[in-house]
Amino acid sequence: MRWKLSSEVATLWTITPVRKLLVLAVLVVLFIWAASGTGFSISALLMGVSNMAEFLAGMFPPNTAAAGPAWKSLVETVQIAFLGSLIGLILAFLPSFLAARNVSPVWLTIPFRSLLTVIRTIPIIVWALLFVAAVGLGPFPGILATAMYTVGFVSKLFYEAIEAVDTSQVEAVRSTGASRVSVWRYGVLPQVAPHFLGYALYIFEYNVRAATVLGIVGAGGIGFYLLHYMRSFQYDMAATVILITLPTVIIIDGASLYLRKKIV
Amino acid sequence: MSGSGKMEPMGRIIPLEQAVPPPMIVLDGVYVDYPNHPDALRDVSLKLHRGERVALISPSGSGKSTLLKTINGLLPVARGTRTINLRGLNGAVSLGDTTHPHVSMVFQEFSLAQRLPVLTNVLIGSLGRVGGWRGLFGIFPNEDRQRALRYIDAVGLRGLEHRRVAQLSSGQKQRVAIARALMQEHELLLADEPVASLDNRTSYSILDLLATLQKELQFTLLISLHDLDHVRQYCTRVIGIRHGRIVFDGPTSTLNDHALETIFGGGDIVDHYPRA
Repeated sequence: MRWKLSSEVATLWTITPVRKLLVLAVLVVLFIWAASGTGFSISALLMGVSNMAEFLAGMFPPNTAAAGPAWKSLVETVQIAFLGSLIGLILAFLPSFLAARNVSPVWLTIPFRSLLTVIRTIPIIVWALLFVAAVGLGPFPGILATAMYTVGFVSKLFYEAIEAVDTSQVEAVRSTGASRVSVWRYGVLPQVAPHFLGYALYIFEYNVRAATVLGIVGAGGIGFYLLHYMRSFQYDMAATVILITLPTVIIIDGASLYLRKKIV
Repeated sequence: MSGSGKMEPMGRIIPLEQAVPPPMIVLDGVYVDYPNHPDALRDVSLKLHRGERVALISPSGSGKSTLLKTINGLLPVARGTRTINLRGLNGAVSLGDTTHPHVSMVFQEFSLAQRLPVLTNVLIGSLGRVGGWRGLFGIFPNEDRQRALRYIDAVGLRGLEHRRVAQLSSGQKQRVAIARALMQEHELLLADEPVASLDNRTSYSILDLLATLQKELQFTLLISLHDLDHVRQYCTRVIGIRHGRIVFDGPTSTLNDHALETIFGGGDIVDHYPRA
């Protein structure tokens, strides 16, 4: 029987030359369609190289006068990302179980999946604009925007992780006569917990990067200074902001990756 | 079960304890359907008596697991009747057709919480009794903890109670699964191919363990097996299933070539069930 199964799998995954050509043609058509609609131009890029060189030259040497406010706002950015991630993760926890088809009835999964999809489709910058309008300028709307974005982003990962649990483990707990909540606690949660932790670290790392641009719309963080220096052609000051931001983000990315590998 | 005895034909009243005990499980004309596989079990009738050690054999996908899950109440009966007459080893009584009758089960792939310690996995066996907020927050009564430790000792895992299951060998994991099933303290233990994913030596050690515990604790064992040597060595009765129907039910000594052909249809006996 084994050879038969292998041949079936092989047939399933074989891509014939005709299919390869078809895929290539579709990609070319899509590229032309997108490029023509957006003014994509290699020549414009080449002509802009000199401007770019001028911009880069203006960045050196970086002006250390920006280091103080940049560092302070970078700390604020990390704080926004941390609080936003934490609040978002807490808010996403229960709806994720209610949206998972294998643990909740359909009359709950459909409305919760729809709600989470709506939340997910709104970009973080739009959330920031909404909350700036609602609660004013500063890091607080940034935290709220990050939290809402986190809910939309991780809830999908969460409920997909819940739906991928090994049902035999759930069945084993159920077979002991355990209550529904105990089945959830011992059959589902131990399986999804490492995934949840991994996603939590990933979203924090992502939110640190995302929060660097929230300042552009007045929602706190280092983006405010970056935009201000760029608009006022103080490229040397902007360079200091970038030089302080980059290693911090890289360190957080690395630490998150390391911890995720340890957990999952 | 009312009254204290039964009437013999001659009219003498004998105590109930001396009378032939009723079967603990009776399936009568049971059909079980899956959404994409109707009649996964067809017209299945069987009786299980106290203290039996019964092997369940069949070609792959013929209904062994379905039958075990039906007895356990994990699968609903589409037609026919399932009658449970069990008394937990702790004295609790389960009568009638319940969703979670007093039945313990050991699964083929262990089905343990890999990231939880051995002790917690064994304590999961007591969730049918503990439940509620105690179960939710893992606050198990001390007597349950002591009992769990005794069963961990009984399956030969003393000293490993605080180790994560993921760090154990396959044989040790199956021992944890057996301890979890024992923790339920039920009269009937179902084992769904408990040695299918183990090497030969470990398989024998697990089956030895089950046989020893069965003798000591006097539970009934219904075990699906893949190896006829195991069947002949450890079981006194064999039930053979083919295409969802019981096609053989008799003492192990009567499991001859003709019976095997009836169960396996000839072809794949040698591949999957080496003769003794």
